[in-house]
Amino acid sequence: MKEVVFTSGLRKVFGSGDTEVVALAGADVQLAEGEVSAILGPSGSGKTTLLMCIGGILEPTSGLMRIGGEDVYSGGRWRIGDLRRLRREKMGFIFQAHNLIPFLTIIENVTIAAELVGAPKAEARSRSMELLDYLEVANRADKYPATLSGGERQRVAIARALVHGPRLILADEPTASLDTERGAKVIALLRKLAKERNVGVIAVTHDVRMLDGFDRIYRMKDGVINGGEG
Amino acid sequence: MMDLAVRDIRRNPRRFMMTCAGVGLLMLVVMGMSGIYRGIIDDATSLLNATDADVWVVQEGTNGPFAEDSRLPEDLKKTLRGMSGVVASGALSFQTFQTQWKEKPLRLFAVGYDQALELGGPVNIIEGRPIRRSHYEMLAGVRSGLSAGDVITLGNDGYTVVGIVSDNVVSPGGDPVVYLTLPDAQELLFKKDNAAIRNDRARAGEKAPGADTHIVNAVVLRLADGRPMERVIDDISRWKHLRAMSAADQEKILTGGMVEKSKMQLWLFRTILIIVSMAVIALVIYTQTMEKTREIATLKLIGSPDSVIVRLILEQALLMGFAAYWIGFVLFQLTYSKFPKRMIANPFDLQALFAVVMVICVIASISGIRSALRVDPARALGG
Repeated sequence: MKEVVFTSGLRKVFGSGDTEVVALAGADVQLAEGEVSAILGPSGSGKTTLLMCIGGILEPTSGLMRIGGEDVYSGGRWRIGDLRRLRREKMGFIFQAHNLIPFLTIIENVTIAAELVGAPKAEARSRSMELLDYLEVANRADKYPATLSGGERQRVAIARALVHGPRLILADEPTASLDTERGAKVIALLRKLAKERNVGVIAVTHDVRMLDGFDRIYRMKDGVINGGEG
Repeated sequence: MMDLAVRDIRRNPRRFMMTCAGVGLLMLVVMGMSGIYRGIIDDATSLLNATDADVWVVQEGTNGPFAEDSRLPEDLKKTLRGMSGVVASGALSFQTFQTQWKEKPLRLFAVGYDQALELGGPVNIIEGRPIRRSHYEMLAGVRSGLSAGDVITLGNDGYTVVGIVSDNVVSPGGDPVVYLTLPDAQELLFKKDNAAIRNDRARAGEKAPGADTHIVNAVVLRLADGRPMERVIDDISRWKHLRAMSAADQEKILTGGMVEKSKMQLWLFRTILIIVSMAVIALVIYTQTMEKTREIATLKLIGSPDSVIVRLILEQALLMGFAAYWIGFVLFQLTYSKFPKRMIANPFDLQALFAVVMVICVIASISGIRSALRVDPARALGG
């Protein structure tokens, strides 16, 4: 299986001298196509920092990072000029609070991600409808996010994360706002979609009830990550 | 790429329209200020334009009857008419009166004109007839509100309105014009009452001069086609010891002296209102942007380029300015003729204001855009 994410010795240090805080102490993460991995740890352990570094939102201090085989960070600097382009073309994001745009309808919330990568309007719409249908929220396509339940919103967020055909989905506490049953369904859905579409998924969570759904689990504590357990 | 600005407005149109209506009212006032300014200019020059003279001759050392007192012997009208190149002349007197009409004060600007001469009299009589008698008849401008048959008291005498003039002519100060015969106007202006004559005689003995009413405030001339105006003006100034000026010079004196302060004041008000409008739009756009911080962070996180975010904010500001302008414009068109002070809707002013509004919208959106571009995409993460 092709590599989606590879990090080696990824470090992130905030501040310097007496105020120095090591948020990430040399993280080694590997993720392949179709694989669903969890980063588990308590608050402040550095899991969101790791997610932000992989997502190109936060610049690491040192280490090596490849996304989809492309050298993204090495030698102490970004190797890609336009990180937003990297995100919109290769990554999809799922948030704890779904983060749907409240003034866009459900179909528009999904379509926008496809339009951002240059898909023609009609194609973007048909791909979005297809996904919404698959995720069983097509009947809410013309509604606004505020009228949907938490589970429905998270399924719409999943559709938005997938519509442009990314290699990697980064999920930040995707089940935090859902009850156990709905949370398990979301993880199962992510797993199913990852296998079907050959997408790698990294989900940050502190919810140990959801761990059964993951192929690999990285445990983090005080910025230190274990090697990953299957 | 879908239009996010329109979709955001569509989701909450009430607040958008309320803001537009508020700014639209400010626009209405700005348009009103411009309309008043144009009205003042037009009023100030209306009598000048209605007279249609090439040269105004006034007392030496004065700026003419609209700026200060100017007295000339009436017979100059004949002397000047005889000059080479002069094809028509008129003798005029001007006086503002305040009288009572229907138990309300009525200010009128009385123009005395010589019926026998070609220049300076009323042109378009739309109701009634011209003045036929030498005394106690008048023609009233439409803006006086008078009708044919009305009798108005000026001085000690009653004057019957025999006709209505359609010209939109008012005094430089905006008072409606009435036309009187020159002898009537001269008597009103210069004739002393009996008590004044007795007092003068008591002070100066029998040498006290009688009341000479054969005085006018200005003589106006029209020149033959092709006759150099400068030469006629120069001849009159040099040999007659009078001040002669072109109609354009007279207009400069009028607008420069009388209108300049109003112009400055109206400019000041307009500038303040435009700045207030800009501040309102900037504040609303900034507030709306701050309310959308999480959405902007999400857009950045999913890879939206800055242009998408800039367009969202800039387009909203421009739409707000556009809608506000048109609200103001429609209200102005519906109301400007009903204001007590005369307003003129000048197309150039309205177009220039539209351009200014669009520019201030761009400026007003800058703070919102800067804040939006500073939003950290990481803010989309977390609860």
